[in-house]
Amino acid sequence: MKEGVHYNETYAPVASWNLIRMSLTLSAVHGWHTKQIDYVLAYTQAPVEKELYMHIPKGFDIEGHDTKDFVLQIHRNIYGQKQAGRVWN
Amino acid sequence: MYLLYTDDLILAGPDQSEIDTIIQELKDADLNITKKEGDLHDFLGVNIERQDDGSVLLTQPHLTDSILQDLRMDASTKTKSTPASSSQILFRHTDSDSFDRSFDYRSVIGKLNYLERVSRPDISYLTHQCTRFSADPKVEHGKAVRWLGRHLAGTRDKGLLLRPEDTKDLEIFVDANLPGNWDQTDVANDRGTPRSRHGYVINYAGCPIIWNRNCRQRLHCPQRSPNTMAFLMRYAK
Repeated sequence: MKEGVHYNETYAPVASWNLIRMSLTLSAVHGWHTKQIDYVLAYTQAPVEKELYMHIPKGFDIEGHDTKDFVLQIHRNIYGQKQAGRVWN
Repeated sequence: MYLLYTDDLILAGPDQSEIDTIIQELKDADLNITKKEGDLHDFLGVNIERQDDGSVLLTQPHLTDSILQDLRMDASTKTKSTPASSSQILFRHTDSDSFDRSFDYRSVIGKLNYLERVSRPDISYLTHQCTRFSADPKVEHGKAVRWLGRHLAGTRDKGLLLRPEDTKDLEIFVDANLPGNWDQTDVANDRGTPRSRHGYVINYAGCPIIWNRNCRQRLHCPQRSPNTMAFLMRYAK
């Protein structure tokens, strides 16, 4: 993948462990409630950032045609794209 | 409070109903994004356990197991009570035989560093020592990592306990040794020996929050005490 062609920005937010420990300590000090959320298949829930196409992966057949003659247009933000983490956010 | 790690999220706050509202809003805002939620238990592969007395325990048994597996160790391994030999300091050991590659040195080092960064400040010094020689590990370095592995085998369920103490606020502990590991016999081959090492840990309410350890590139001004310098280094960052 090429920057500027297939993706522009790739930044995705991450929390540092220093911050996580600090927050956990604070919630222990003040007796706060803590909840955790995990997004399942998060990336694919966002629409794709720009027009992108991919080769048809091995294992898929199109009856009467060679799969090499076709490409797939990507509609959802799929795992493996460089910008996937950013687009999701 | 809202902690986001790409697609993992922790919510913390004094009011349970407010947290529930936020979760509901998240559900409403997007299609059906929140599928799994619950009290804190596992965040980025780290077990987060709320003890009955309100303290929080961070452990990484899975990562520790994976390190032990890489080192071809298991539950029957003879354990060590210390992370490293107290009598041996690691140098470059230029004259020693190369490490026999019985495990993937750099891969284990990578895992050890993540373990140390998150829940095991106690092995901080040794992981740093072993990391320094990743480029050309010798027998001694391999042995040191094995020793550490034995220590981890005996302490795999141990981790970082955040138990706040009311009487304590922000505290900084620093330590440094000026060229204390200076080895005159090897200095021609190993310019690392005269380097000063320092480390620090910053506690809040008696809980370790931030820690680090390092080797200095330059020699310190001898009039200043090493502890002062370590403290200044912290603030120079």
